[in-house]
Amino acid sequence: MALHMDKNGKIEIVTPPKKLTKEEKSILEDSKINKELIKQAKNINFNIIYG
Amino acid sequence: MDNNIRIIQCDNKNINSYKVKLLQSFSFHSDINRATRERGLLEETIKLVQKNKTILYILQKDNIFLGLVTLSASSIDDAPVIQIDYLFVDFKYRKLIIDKINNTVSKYLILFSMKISEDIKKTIGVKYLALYPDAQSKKLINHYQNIGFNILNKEWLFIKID
Repeated sequence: MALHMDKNGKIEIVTPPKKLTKEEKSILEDSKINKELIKQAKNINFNIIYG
Repeated sequence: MDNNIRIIQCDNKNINSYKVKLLQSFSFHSDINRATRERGLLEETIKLVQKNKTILYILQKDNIFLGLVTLSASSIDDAPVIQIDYLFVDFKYRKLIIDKINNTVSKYLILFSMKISEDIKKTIGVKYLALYPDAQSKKLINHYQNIGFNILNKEWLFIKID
């Protein structure tokens, strides 16, 4: 539920498309796994705290 | 990992402890209209955390808030995704490579979102990390493309993780 603010300052919730066109589906499915970014992310030891 | 760098996880149980600091300590855009927009989106984001619709992660260095990202589960068509609901970087730290994290704040928060997605992927199905760029700014879209996002359509960007 990403947020979008229109030109009048009204905020609305936007969600990803639930029905893709054939072209969009092909873009999504034919894309490659971003292994480089995954590798970078895995190499960072994030210090997460809750409190 | 330097202990001065940490990510604070906020949900509906602890967000009220951080709400005031989040709204008071961040610097917003120098343009008043854009600053109002950013602040308004942050206020709404906090409300979503209070309703437990998203989880907020604040990047903190030496007790200074540098930025934040909020994440939730969603789907694109029939594919499960982790969605970046809001990514915000303090105006003073935008585009800067931050010492000790060796990245910009936005790149670091996206890598963090990737790590979370990877962890979730081990237990439930997740195919993509999805993002809706604020205001559909071309500059912002280019920025996210440079990080590794693909363009799905006029509104949504994604990274394939599985």
